[in-house]
Amino acid sequence: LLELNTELLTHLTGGGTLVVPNRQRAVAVSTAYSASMLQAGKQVWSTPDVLPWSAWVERCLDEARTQGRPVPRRLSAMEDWLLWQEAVHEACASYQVLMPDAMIEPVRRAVGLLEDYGIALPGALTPEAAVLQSSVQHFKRRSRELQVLGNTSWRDVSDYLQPGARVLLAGFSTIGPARRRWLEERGARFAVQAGLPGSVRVMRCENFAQEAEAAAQWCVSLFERDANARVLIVVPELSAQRHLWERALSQHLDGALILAGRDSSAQSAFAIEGGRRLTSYRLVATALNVIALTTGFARFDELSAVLRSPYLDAPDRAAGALLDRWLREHNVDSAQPQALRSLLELLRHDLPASALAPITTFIDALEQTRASSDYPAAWAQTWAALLERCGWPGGAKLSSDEQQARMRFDELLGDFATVAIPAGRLNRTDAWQRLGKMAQRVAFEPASDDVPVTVTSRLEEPIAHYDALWVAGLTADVWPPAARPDPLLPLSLQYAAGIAPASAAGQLKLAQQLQQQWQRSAGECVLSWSYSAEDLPRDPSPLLPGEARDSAASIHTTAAGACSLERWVASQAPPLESWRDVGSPAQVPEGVLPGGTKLLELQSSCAFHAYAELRLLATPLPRPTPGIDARVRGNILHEALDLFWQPMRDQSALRERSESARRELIDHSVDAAFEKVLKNEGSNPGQELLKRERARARKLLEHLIAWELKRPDFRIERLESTQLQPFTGGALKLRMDRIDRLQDDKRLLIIDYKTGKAKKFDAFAERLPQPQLPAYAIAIGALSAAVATVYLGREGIACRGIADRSDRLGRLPAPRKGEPGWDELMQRWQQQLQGLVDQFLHGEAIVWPLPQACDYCHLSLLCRIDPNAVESDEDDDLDNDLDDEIDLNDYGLGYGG
Amino acid sequence: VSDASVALEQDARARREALHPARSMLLQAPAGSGKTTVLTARYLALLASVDAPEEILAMTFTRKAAAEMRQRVIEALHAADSGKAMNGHTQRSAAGRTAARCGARLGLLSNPSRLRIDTIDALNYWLASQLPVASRASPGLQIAADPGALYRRAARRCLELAPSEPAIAAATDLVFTRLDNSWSGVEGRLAEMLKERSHWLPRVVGAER
Repeated sequence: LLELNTELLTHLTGGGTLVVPNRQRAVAVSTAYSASMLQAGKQVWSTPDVLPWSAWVERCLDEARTQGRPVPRRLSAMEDWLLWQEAVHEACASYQVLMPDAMIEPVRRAVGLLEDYGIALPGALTPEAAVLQSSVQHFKRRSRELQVLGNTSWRDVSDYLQPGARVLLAGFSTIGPARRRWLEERGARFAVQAGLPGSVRVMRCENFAQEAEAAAQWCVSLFERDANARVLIVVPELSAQRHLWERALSQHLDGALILAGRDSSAQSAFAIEGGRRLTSYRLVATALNVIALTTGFARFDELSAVLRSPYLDAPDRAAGALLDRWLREHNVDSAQPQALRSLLELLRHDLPASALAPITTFIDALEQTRASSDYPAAWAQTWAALLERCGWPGGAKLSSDEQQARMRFDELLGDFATVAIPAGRLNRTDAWQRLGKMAQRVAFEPASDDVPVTVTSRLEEPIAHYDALWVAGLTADVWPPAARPDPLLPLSLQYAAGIAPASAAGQLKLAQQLQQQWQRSAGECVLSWSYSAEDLPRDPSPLLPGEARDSAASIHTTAAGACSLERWVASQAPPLESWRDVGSPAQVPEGVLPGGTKLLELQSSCAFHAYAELRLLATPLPRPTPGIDARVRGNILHEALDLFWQPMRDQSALRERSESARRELIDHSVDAAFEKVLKNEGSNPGQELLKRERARARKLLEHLIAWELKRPDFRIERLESTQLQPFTGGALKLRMDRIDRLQDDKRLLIIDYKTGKAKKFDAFAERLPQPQLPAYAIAIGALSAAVATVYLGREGIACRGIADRSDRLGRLPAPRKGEPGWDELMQRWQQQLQGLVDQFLHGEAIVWPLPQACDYCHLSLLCRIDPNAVESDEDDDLDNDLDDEIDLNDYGLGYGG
Repeated sequence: VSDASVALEQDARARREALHPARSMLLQAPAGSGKTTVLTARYLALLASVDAPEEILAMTFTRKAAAEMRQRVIEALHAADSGKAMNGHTQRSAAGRTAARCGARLGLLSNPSRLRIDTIDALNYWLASQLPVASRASPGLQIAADPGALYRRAARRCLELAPSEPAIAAATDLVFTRLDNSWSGVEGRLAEMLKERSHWLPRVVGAER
């Protein structure tokens, strides 16, 4: 149990006031006091008078008012920050400091040091000290004008403080001499930490994660011995390691809670002091993002987060998810309400009516927030109304934490409305930014009951006595800490005043002092360090006692009753079975197989990829990007080519047209294709991009037509034809861009269009990297004479493929001597493709990628293969980085089935 | 006298000279030949001539190298403190042993965080954080471990603003045309160029002036 030493207990029992540095310590002391009363057999007792410093100051001001003294209003913490913001911005203006907001806290800290150590700034100032002085002067002048008291300076309120003999201060061992002297001169006393140091162990761990794990296991073993034990865990770098500690502690201490499916921190066995930023709570982030959407500055990410949020009724989660997916698939990256409104007509065709209603309500709500400039109070009302119209925070029952976060956000809006720092009328953006900054400053910690384990990052005296205490991260580079002079105060002044953190000697002394306090604050104290944290070799702190060093492996927990999740699973003794994970159950085909030629391509390049995408449907969620979507670009070219060839189907007709007539037809085809394709698209990439895209499309068609004119005679047999290709076990739906009949022997050439850089085509590969062309060839059968991918590039046309004779199409190769002939090749392809289909149907899902197959694969988290470990094909000099390689079929009707 | 013994003598002399605190030194040698060992010994030698260890600065390229060098210095200090032999060349350096004792005198054993052995990034960051106004950096800045996403963001912002910026609109149009009007292509190349800006930015800025 938590305990208090005799001095503190006697003082509180006698009705004295105990002042401690912060709320967390006040809660701990109050809990310890209650435990003492219970142990003393009392059932009822007076509430101890334990106050954090700020609350004590507030009470002194109230008492002064009660006595009839005229006391100016004291700024709230937020108002104080805003007034300092004003002061610091003005002071920094002439220095062009980047992010002056980041100077506010350093300025306030420096003000505290000036007062605590009784330092006066000299005449000649460094730029840092000049900013500090100017900020202080501005703040004081504005405080006088507004007739308010600041929240930062204790000197400003010292006229009203009444320390007296009944006030005992604990936990202020690092307080500056000037404040200490001032308080003592007025009768206040500082508690002396008494008690004998408890046992000490030093724990050597491999890394931060193991430290957290070891500490969690240690907690379990403590609770096995004493179910009422109270533990304090100090983690200096908690903000960076919070996830490790949360995971380790919840797995070991909250196993029963996890299994029961509850996640309220009110019932957890541990609490992390200081909480998290209010903005990190999804409920609050949703509200802020909804407000951001009315400013015009929101991006797709914010809109997407809102649409997927469970904390809105309009749109509800289902409708929001549908809209989110639609926007992604149509590459709409705008988050403007009017842009969303303009999409409603298109959405009507694609989304169910049940989804459209809440989406429309949502857009209406965003657009109704029309004010362009207003006072903070009016903005707060506007935003509250907006959130209400969107049904925030949703219809589902909120957990305790969520309810508290909601109330804290409401308070924040109230603070924004009533803030006494005159802001005048704020435009929409300024108001939103101000609210955002205020929200980011709020560290929110849901109230929790007395929990067995408290985790803190505070390097300060615990005050209460714990059963056990663990301090993590004590490596030589951080403990004792390096000197940290205040950046705003001249160094010489800091040395002269004896500010401990400013010098290495001072830091060493503080560290030694605190380590002693830790050891006296618990019956058992563990000091841990990691020897390879963050992949860097580390040494133990020289302040760790050399004896009693131990390794993390020495921590054992044995009792069956502990509620570790891991232990629970083990205790269930589930039967173990072996599973060869390179395959899954065979699939019984039902008609057409999914994916079309994509099935062949994926199965060939990596069986797992095909399995994940086509059987598990693990397809990536598209992410809108600026520019014209690759799918749209493909569709436009596809359409333009189709329109161009419709009026003439053979080369002689093409030749008969004059150059100007051909150019005119190209222009017409491109314009018509743009109109047709863009009509159904929601995105608006901008006129400049579209203009260039038209020019590009014309250029590509011109290159193609010039190339077509040089070919041997041909007639276009089919454009955009679809065909079912049967395989044993199922059929694949193929869509071929174009089939030409060659005029010399009337056999057929199959053409597949692509853009981007040409890839080499290996017709004889054991594993076909591009099985598309072989699939087309066997689909056409005995009449096929050649298959080719025609790459449309800015510099011209490139052609890759294979033909039965080398004179079929430019330099398209034919099988060479020693290689299988055309007919044999067709048979070989047939077998290879049938093999791929068989593998797919049998559930073959081995992770075995071809070189470069992992470069743009989205499944790495699922297959857990290290792409860097995959052998790269150094002979392949083709580089498709950054170039959109568009298979026109990919974005049309290809991959049917 | 064999060639090998002459070479060894030359090597030993070069190592001794490299420790002289009053001389500047450029040390070039193959990988694995002991450059870090000499640097560590020089650091220890310099400890004998300073009032505070913070007066000595050692910089490396990587955090790992900095951490290793820090470890070696601490090991040497401990060895000197306990009278044990030190490793390799540090052991052979009398100056190193003396300096290690100085390190102990300066309190490095109880406070090794006084060692200024860092990467250049860390040094710059420390300087900027100690001079937030003069450096105009403000204290909120942090070193981004992976700046790629920031380069992409900057590139995207630039391209979004380009059509309304007469100074770069025409140039942007040309770049897009050359790169197949591909937004991801232009954005990606701009981001790559930002990453390599130390190679081209001084020339571009110099040419403008």
